[in-house]
Amino acid sequence: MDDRKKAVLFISAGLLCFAVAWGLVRGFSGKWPWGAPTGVAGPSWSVRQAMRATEETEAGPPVSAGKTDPAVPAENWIVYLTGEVQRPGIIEIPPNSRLFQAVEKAGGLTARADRDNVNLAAKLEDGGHIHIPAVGQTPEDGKNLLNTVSERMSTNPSAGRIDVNRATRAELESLPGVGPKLAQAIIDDRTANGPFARPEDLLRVKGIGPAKLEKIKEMILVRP
Amino acid sequence: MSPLASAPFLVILSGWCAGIALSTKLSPPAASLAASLFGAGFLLISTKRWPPGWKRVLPVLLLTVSLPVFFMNLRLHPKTVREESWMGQAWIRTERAWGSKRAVTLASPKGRLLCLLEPEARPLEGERVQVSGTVVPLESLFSVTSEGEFDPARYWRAKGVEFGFRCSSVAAVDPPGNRKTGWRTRLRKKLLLSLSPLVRGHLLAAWTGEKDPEVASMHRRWGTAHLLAVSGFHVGVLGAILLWCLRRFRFKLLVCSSLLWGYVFLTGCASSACRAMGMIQLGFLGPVLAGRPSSPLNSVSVAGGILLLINPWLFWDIGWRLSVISALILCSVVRGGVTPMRGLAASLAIWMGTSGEASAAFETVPLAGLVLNLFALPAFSFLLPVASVAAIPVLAGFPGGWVPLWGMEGLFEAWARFADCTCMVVQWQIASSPWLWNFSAAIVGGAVAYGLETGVSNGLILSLCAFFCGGVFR
Repeated sequence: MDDRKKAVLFISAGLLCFAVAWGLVRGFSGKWPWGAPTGVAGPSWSVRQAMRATEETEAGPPVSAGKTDPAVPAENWIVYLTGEVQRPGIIEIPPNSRLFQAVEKAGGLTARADRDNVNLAAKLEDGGHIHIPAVGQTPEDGKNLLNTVSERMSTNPSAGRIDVNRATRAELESLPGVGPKLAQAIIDDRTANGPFARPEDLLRVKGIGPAKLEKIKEMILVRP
Repeated sequence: MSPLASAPFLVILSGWCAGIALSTKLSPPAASLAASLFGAGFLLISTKRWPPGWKRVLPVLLLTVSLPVFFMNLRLHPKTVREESWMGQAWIRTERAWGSKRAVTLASPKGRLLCLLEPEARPLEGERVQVSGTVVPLESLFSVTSEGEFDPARYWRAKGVEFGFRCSSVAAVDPPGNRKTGWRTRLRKKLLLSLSPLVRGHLLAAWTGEKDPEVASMHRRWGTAHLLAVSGFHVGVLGAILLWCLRRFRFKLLVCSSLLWGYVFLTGCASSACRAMGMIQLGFLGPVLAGRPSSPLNSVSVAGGILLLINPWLFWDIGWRLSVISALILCSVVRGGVTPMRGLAASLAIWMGTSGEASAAFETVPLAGLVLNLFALPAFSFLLPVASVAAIPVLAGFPGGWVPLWGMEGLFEAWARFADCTCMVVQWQIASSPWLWNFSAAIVGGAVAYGLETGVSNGLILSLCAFFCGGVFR
């Protein structure tokens, strides 16, 4: 074979390589043999972002670093953790933490902990007392079972609701239809006229009508 | 001529780049197969004359492409992290402006964390801090980006960051010590407090790798922002000065290498500076180890490839990309010696070859940069070293030290006037687009083909392939 034919053959082979590679990319793009191997794999970005937005709405506003916005709580929460954890006592945790984070800070669960009756995903509250029961222990067995999380989560219908008498502006903004201005109006109203006694009292805030109240009624809590 | 004989690592680097770029689309085995095909395609098209024994070398070369790509793809899968609260001590590795916040990277027992702080937190490099907050996936710190846009998570992964950190409190425990970062902090403070504005902005970039926002915005307007990133230009200028100063010294290469590595560490080990330093080191070692000068194209490929092996995320680092592209084009165009015409052609080709990447990062590129870069490199290869010397009396506190400093301030001001006038005359901006990206890829392909002496027809085909496949690397 002369040099010219050889050159054409090699260039054709090179182009074929590019074409096969291109076909590989087109044909197999996004098809993984196992799991989700990269940070951008798994659910698509839009789906992941929607999931994250839902989680953030449920968990309240994200904690921002620094202490510039007075409406955002920057201080850590303090909770009292007792029962079957490695180091029971006062625990300092970031705001909006869940139970597993407090348990991690307390060194984890002991071998005796009743894992089936503890909801480690439960949302915590600042100043709360959580007791982790041992296997076979019922709330009546222990003197210090003031507030087991499993009990609280199953019986407390107000879990996850926003207390409009104490909520920060950012927390109020997480309610549907409540923007920064309306959240500020709610805070101004409760500062000027005192706390709301019942959900209907929110109607006195300019910008909240019966329709909006109906929309957010199931998501709020009015504590004196 | 064949890359097998002149620059075999260029084939390997091209395959690695394709394989890493495809990691977001293909599984590791498929990506490594595609990388081999890209490498083979590049080799077959860019070879005009096959060297003896090529049939034995080819399979080894393709294996050298595919195997590392497979393992690099595995490493590119970030560790999964469950949100976890953490309180403890860490030290601040780097800090920089990030929009309205300060981006701080923390070396901690939890790994390398990125934390976005309010500016009043005033974190300092090298400080040991007590922090509390939540470790989160890195991606969750940023809003979603669409394909082709700047991806901040990738940018930070290229800087070695593993996870994000939502910080609820931060307090300094120890001031910056005698670590490298402590020295950088002290130098930065000295420069900020002692020098005049323009000299300060340029020396801050050249000595510490940090950007003064005002000077950075001026250079972005002129299309010469690369002058503020420590790169092959800075390392090359310093290397040339050192070699000239040490020309009669017996161990000049050893001393020069040590001083240059010290400079690279002082400026924060930017990927572009490391690439340049690696290339210079190979240039020094080539004649000693192999008994012949190393091929510049091969040296660029080796230096760029080693950085990818160390941290594959660097593939998405704009510093690494611009540095490798510029160096490849420069080495290709000025092969056989620098002449005024080749210098002009290299400057134009570098601007065109990097405009796709630069416009993707900055949204637009000023056309004035095409003109200004012709003058900027010679001008700044004079201004920066002279300004560095002129600043020493002031930094050392000598009386009358401000006289040479203000002279340099005047020269930088004169450059600023010239650049502003050029921007007024050539005021068009080129927006980012896939076409511009592919055009840049074609320029790179064409320049490399010229450097490999493939001949016109092979060069055109390679350039066309780069044009159509350029999107893969985006």
